[in-house]
Amino acid sequence: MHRYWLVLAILLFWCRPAGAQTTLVMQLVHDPSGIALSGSGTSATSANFSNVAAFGGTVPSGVTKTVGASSFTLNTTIDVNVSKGALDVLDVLSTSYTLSAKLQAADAQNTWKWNSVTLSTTAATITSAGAYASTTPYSFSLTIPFSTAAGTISNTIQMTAVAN
Amino acid sequence: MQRKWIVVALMFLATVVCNASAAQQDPPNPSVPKPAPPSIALSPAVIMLKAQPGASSTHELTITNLTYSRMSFALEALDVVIRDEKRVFVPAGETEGGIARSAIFDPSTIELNPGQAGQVRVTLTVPQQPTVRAVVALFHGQTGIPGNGSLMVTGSLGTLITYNLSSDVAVALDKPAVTLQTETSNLTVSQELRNTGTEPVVPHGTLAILDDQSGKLIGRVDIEPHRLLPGEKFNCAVEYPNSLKSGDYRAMISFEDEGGVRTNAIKFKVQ
Repeated sequence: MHRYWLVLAILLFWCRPAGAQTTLVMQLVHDPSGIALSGSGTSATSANFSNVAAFGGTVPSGVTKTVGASSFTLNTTIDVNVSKGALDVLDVLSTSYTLSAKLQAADAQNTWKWNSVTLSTTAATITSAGAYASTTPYSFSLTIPFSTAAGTISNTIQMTAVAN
Repeated sequence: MQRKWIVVALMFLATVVCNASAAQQDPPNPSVPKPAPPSIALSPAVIMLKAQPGASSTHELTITNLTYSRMSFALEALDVVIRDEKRVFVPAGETEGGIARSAIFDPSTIELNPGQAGQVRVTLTVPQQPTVRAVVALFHGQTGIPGNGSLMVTGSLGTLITYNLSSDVAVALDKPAVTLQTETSNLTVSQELRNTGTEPVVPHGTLAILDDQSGKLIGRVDIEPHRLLPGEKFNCAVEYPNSLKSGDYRAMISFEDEGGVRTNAIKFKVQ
């Protein structure tokens, strides 16, 4: 009977994929207390802060406005979830991930922050020990000086996840 | 006759298991509704190589679009360098002795329909005098959500490719520290690890709590493996999940990697 178990074991190992398969999965998710996102749950989202001013106006739901001495700041929360494939051996190969962010276009006037990290066109590390399969809320803020002329402000934040 | 049936049954069982395993690797079929939330996925996430200076290797990476939109990605290679004992991703060509500058992607951009998976081959060559031991092959998300949003966020995923070019593996352990348990928190033993060698290393370990008087093992906790690139530091904090009675204890924390086993110990008292 032992030889049959041997046959079964050989067949099973024969069918195993060569090398360890690992998968990294990313989602950008609407936070219940944050601004509404178009494309929430995907890897590309957008948010509209609508028409805001330092004094007066109404900010969208999920956004707070703080007025300082020479600028005002809009704050909201956006969630990020990075996970691994359900059947992966990533536990052995990686137990955490690094999340970095950068602006697509330089903005010398306004300050864009993700989790208190000031963003520029050079990638900055947001977390170097992200926990897999955990939807993590990140604060986002945009500080606009009073000197900024009225007009449209827009930019793209590029989030990157890499297994550690 | 009975034996033949047993063989047939075993082969059938193995075939079923193999087919199930293979199905998990197939790209998703767009016609089958996916209950999982939309996402992008990259496989493999980590590749660990043993190589020599001058060696080239080619790897196939699979990106899967599990969203409801068509998505495009541009391929980019980044060197992983250590600055102030932390990882930094540096664009190709900025680091002397970097590997990323050698990257050739085929294709260099890729567009995927919803539910579609696509493969990209990356070929990397280790320079004769390499100064880095890791590269990221990045699928840089190019797709934005149409609309009048003032803030757009795009997601990108990267495969970490590490290189071991020699057997110079060394990890230094600092003195461990104990944070005693409270009514609301468990006992935690912290241990700083530093890769002082020239090659990547993935130490894993065990925390053992012993009775200091008798030496009896009270409990143990496995420590998950953690990759350290040369020059990188990691503060490993291990929580002991059980409550300890009053007494004198010794925490022994051991790490194992290709270079061997290293152990540290610290005594502590629970009031």
